[in-house]
Amino acid sequence: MAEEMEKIDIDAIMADIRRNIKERGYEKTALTFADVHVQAGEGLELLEERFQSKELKKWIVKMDETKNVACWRPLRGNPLEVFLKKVVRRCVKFYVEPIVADQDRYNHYTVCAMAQVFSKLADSQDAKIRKLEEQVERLSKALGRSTD
Amino acid sequence: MRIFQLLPVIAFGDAVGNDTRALKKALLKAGYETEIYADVVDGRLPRGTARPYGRMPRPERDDVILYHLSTGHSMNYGVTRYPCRKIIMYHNVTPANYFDGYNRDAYENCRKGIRAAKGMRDAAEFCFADSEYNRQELIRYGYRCPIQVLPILIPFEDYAKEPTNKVIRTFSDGKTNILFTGRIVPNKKQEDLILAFFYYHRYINRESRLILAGSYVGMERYKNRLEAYAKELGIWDCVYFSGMSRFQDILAYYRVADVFLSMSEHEGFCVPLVEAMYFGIPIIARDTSAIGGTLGGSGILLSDNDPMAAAEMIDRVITDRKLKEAVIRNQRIRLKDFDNKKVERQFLHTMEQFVGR
Repeated sequence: MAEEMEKIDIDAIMADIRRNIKERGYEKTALTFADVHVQAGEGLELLEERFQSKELKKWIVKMDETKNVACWRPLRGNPLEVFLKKVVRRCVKFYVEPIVADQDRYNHYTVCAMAQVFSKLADSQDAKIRKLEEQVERLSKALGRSTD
Repeated sequence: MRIFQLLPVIAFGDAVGNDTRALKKALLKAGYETEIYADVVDGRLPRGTARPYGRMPRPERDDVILYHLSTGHSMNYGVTRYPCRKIIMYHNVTPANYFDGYNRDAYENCRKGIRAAKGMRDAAEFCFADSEYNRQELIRYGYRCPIQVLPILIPFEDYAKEPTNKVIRTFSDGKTNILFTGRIVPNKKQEDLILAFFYYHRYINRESRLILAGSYVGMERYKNRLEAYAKELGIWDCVYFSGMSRFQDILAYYRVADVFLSMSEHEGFCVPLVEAMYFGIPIIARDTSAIGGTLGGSGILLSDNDPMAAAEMIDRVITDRKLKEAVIRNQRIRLKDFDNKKVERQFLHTMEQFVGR
């Protein structure tokens, strides 16, 4: 014969629990999970983020601010170390400077291209909004109402 | 007549993967010619478990495909084009909205998976569903073929393995351990677990901790939010995220648990409930989706996610010995319904009738 489960009176337990909740004097926390926001990530974490045009603009501005690669940097160390580093720097100057100039040019073109992408998105959005406004205008007229 | 078990990914230690392997074993024992084919075969699986889908011989008319549906994948549509008979084993696809803002790939996979599940309704001649909840979902999707509820086959013999002693030593410090096992994903509502634990810890028992044993791979943003939530509530040092764990570690978490708490909002079956039953841990769970069906009258069901009620219930189950014993006894009775031999018999009987042999 199959074993039968014992009946547990959950309703009675819950009634008791509700009394306990009153007696314990719980203070409901104002904080909900919806209030918790974690700083938006950077790099590849942004692949999971929803698109926001202001975020795109922010990153384009940062690109522009950092587009020029610094070739010449202050050298640190004791006097002998600094002297040796200066000698090495002078020796490789002929090789490194053209590479840095190429990189600067590429960075500049990339910023220009990204600025155009932003403009394209902004224009598309504006065009969509205008189209929707015209549609609302037409529908409102059809319904005999003013949009003002 | 051959039986092909197909699925997009067969993973190691995964409920669907374990189920597929167990069904293959049962079919082979019954004398069927059968094999598993998957687009991705986890390298950690024993050699010979499954073969690449690309190497599958083309099924003939008298063959049978048993297709495991649980996610979006091109295979969902590919399967319908074969001329043979098809059975769908439906493991449920999580609603995509849970992953919005956390993981684009997961969102798209689920969205496509649900679309495919609806699209396959006319291709299936028969369906198995892990739970009554899954069966009802297929009916809502328009499936008209017979649908039989068949619980997932769970490898109970693996639970006899040696648990990690270090975990047991670490968490056997006299504190009350509240456990939830399962991936850190939004549909499992770990934030509700944290809030319930907050009330329990602050108002009832300061010597307590919440163990969230599960991987958060791909859900790092959700996990970061959960951590921030725990920090803002002032219980960060009492909430333990195990991350991806070895199987022996999971066994150890079950050994040190005083209560198993689930506030999941969406589950297709919930294997951890059966695991908690096996380890004799009293279960308190919010009654949603397949949870009530899997518990089958055992455990303690909460009608909503009221965190204070959950906190009080934890205290009641832990301190009321008679209640605790009754809950565990009921769970042991329910556990018998998941006995592998019973589920295997049911599966093979249905397959016999289906293939007409």
